[in-house]
Amino acid sequence: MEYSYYPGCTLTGSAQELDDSFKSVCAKLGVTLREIPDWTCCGASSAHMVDAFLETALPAKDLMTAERIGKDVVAPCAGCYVRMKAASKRILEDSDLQTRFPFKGEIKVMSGLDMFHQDEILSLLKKSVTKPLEGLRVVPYYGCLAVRPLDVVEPENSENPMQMDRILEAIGAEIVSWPFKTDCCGGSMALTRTDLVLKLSGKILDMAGLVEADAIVTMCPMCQANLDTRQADLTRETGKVYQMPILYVTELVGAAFGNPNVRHWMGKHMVSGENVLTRKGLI
Amino acid sequence: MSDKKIGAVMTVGGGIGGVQASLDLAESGFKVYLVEEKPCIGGVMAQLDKTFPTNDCSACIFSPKLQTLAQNPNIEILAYSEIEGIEGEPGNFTVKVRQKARYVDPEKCTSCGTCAEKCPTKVPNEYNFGHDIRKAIYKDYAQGIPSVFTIDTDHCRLWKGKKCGVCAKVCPAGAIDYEQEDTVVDVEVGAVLLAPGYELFDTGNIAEYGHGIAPNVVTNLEMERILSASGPFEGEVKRPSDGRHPEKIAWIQCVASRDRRKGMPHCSSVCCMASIKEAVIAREHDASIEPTIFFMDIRAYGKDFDKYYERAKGDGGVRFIRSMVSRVVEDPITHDLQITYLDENSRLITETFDMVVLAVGIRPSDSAVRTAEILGVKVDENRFCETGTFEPVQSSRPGILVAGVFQAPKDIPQTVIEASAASGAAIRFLAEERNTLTKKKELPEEKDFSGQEPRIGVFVCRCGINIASTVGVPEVVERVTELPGVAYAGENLFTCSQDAQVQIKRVIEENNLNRVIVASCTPRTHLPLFQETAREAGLNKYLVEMANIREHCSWVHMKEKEQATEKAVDLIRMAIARTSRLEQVEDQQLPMIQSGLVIGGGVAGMTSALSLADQGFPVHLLESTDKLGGTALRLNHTAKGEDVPTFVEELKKKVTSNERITVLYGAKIDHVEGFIGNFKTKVTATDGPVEIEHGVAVIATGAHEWKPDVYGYGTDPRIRTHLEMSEAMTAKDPAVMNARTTVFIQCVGSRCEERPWCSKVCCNHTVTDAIALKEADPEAKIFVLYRDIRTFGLNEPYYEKARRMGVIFARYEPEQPPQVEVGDKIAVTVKDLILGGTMTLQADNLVLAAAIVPVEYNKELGKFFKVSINEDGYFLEAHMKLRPVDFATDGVFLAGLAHYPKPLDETIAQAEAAGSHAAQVLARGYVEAPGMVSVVDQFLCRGCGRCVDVCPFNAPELKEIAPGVWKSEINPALCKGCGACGVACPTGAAEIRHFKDDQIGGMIDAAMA
Repeated sequence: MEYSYYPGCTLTGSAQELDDSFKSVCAKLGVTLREIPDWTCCGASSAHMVDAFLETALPAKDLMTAERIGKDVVAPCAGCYVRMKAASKRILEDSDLQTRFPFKGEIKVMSGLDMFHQDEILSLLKKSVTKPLEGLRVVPYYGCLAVRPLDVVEPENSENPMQMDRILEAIGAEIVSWPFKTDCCGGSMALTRTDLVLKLSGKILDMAGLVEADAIVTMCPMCQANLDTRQADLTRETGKVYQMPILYVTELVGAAFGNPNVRHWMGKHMVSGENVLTRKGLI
Repeated sequence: MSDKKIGAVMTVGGGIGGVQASLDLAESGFKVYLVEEKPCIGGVMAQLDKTFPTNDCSACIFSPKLQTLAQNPNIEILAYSEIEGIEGEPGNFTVKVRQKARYVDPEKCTSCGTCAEKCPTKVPNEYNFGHDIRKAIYKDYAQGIPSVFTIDTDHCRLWKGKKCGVCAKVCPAGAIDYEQEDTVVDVEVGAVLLAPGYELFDTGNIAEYGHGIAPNVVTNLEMERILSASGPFEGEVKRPSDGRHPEKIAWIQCVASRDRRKGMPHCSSVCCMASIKEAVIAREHDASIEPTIFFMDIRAYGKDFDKYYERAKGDGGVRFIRSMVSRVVEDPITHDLQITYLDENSRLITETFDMVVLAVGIRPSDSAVRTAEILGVKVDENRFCETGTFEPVQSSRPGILVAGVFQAPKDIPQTVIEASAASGAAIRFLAEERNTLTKKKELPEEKDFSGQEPRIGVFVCRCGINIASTVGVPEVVERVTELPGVAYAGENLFTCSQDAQVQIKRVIEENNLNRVIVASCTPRTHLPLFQETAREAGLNKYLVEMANIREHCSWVHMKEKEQATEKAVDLIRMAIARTSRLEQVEDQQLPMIQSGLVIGGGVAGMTSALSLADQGFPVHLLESTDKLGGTALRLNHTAKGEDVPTFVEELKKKVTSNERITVLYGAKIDHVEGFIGNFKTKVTATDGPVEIEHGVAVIATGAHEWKPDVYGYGTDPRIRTHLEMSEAMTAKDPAVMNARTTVFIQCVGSRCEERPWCSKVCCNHTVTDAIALKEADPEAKIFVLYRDIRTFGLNEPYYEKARRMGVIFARYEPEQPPQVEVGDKIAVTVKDLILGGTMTLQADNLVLAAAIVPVEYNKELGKFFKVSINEDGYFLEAHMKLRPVDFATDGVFLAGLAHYPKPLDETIAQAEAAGSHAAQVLARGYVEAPGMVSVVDQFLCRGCGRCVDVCPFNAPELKEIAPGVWKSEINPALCKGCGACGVACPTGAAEIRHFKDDQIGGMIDAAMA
């Protein structure tokens, strides 16, 4: 199995532990990731808000490169994934755009969850577990971009997605049912309306605390960053101590595979998961 | 291919629609094959708890029908079956049906239930939506028909490759057959009638409300089971997560209805009333419950619905909040549910509930769509069967008819109407084959018990828990056994179930019983069933008596269990006293005049007349004006775009050219006498007076549009009613078609104190007109001021279309109605409830959706035919759910707007149904009159004539049998058995058979003893 890999800016910067854990898990599963050569910005965060042409043009270049290589694209960052998928759809629907960007749609754009959730990989993953995460109570947190916009992502179930649940189930974690799988963390308001972000993130963190989760698990670097970095502010504002690890699903898969780098990845978070994983005897 | 038609019909679907159609067809002399995919017939109606707006118990009113069906020798039930193919043409189809293996031999199974008791495999019970368990060998519900158990091979241990075979070992009848195979049969029928019903939209696709994830979120059908005495919690309102009694329950309306995104653009029609009913009933079960209903529009558009809604709002204690809830958030620890909504002041409120009920949208099931495909019947984009307004029960394929929710979302009465209409259509088509394939029920000779000591059998019913949870049934049985005359006493779980009928017959024969008492519920619904059963065992049906230990005992004495048991014994002792004095009585057969009278020459009357005439019966059609057509003459086109005037012209032509139909214009009834089979009606018509003899009558007098005295009506020609608007549109009046701004005001004179009903057609009428105006001029501005938009069923997409075209809908509160000021323009001022401000619309035209009001003449007509009018002035049918075209008075039928305001398709369906029921009576050829009539003992009579004075039916007559010796004689054909003569008679000469003095006196003595 081989995929074109699109890390985007986040995985090369603030979410290096996602990049690292993603790649090492894939290596263990025998999945080859080949980084798209000379990839450009996907246009998330600003381009698609201000320029309709740029919105398509930026991902178009990478899509065409990937198509030439002939392998489906996997984009672990939820933002990159949605931008690339939206662009691929738009090009195929709009003949003017297609003339400009001769992308034929022969390759698919997949999110990280999409890739791991395929039957073949999921069963491989189950077989590769050496250290099932028994006793680790986790709440799967998909955030918005894993399921929205509906007509771009076309999720199986937009209100109750299950892909991450099944991956976590495969590595033996205890999945705790909770109502905020897809609730907004406030990520896109991170810089403009911090008050709102604290409210929204606080709500999610409170619920995870209420159900006595050991960690919130996500695949989206924006959600991770937002939930992880706001806890100190929340603690300061509310006087209540927030200490909820926000982990990438691939980090936990790595732990279940006995990857030696788990402690290193944990060190990249504001609220480290090291303590809880150690306490549960998982690292 | 032969031209020969076949006198048999296949009905598909064993819910109320299929059952009603099967009964109608069999009664009319056609062989019926009823195909049902589930192991038992009954459909959704059997699962419901109560029915709106009368709060009748659904199973109680339905199960007698199911039993009647089971006992009919001309209905063959092919349950657990599916249709695999069809060949041939209308009149002569061959349908391939696969009957799935049940692995239980239906001939041998006695439904004793031992197999299920011993079966080791527990399975979530899908009949109760998994709120309790059943076994891998099961029957959905106790009264289920056919009364046979079925092995669920998805769960049975044997099919999982494990060792078991327990059921075969314990079955006393040797009915288990693991080797059984599917059987495929070819059934020859003249027509097929589709009534496959509906299913709920899959809630897996609406996870925002948490159904299937949060245990305390249930669908409205689950709520029916939860409320039902035979449901998983035996009628106790509990929440599934912890069994705690919920206090705050929220109902969310329009979950996957009116939602194109979910592929459900239609309105599901029944949910508003179903939820209101559930809320009211839940509070009846447990007064501490606080129900809240979240809704967009309350669509209480049917007969007495709005009154029910208003009652629920007031005394019912139900809170209504007009806000579409976007999600339900579960507290994962307490399993309580949070709902955030917008209140009337546009504030966001978050409230916690113990339980949430989702009014989930309904649509035809996958299997119904598959069956339709196999049969070559077209379905529309939303899976409903394609039909036209003017032929509402005709599918796209000739010879295949449709009824019920498969046609469009609808409630039970409308389903029943369509079932009768569709069977009527099948009968008209196959009329010459009547009675060619049916057989008469073979009954044993009635045994003569005269002179014998009473040997009474008492069957005490547990009625699930309805009786048994209050009355000590085993104790009652024990004490009754001791009483004189009782030869047998025993109990049944449901005495009305099919296996109980078999058992009753066996007990009668084994114990040589000559009297039977069933101590259960009301004779009004169940006596005919037990009479039929006893008759099959050779007993005269008048030797059967019922003691009502449910309505008169267990239901009213729930908190006094001991006294209730005592009372049950007393009631049975009274019944024994009466029963031991009962005598055999013969029913009488009276001659029948095989012709009909239809009153009203509108679409309803004409349709009924044609239905009767096509079945071979002469008809007199009375029209009060000088032309046929009624209100439909003033209509323009339907929502689907069909032209009404053309249809009415064609219908008129069919009627006037039909040689069996005599139309009398300017007709007015002066006098009616007689009864079913023998009416004499005096009529004055344009051509002079006539006396018409007829066997049946159909009342189809229609209704009127109210002349408004509000909103400036009558002061300016630019202010029109709906019908005036339609006429102007038909005439292409430029003042209407070219208007820049048109305002519609809804509920003009409807839903108010004087006229507390919804006129049902106005919302659809307005939407249809608004679309037509927009199509004529897309720039035209159109405003609709409304209270609730009630575009029920498949009309909803037209409402959506109107909005997409730019028609503006603005709601007003009845306390603040729009203000109209006539000037250069018509200024309509209304408070905008969304923006909060007041807006004034400068209209070129104002259209008033004026109420529909009943005809004044109904009162007089009601007296003539001894039929009732309700408090609003509409005719009152025999039963609001199950007999919507019949009257309590036999031989008189009802159709169209005389019953209640309704659109054309419903009018046509009801008229066909009324015609069909009327023809059913005529086709029998005689009138079966009960033997419970008065007789005068000639020896005791002294000829005083008091009986003649008091009888309202002119039954007694004084005859001079010798010079100066007068004696009274009763005409049994006219006697209704009311007993007035018996009371008036000073010598005790006049007495009612079956209600003789000593029979009643004995009861009273027993009660006092």
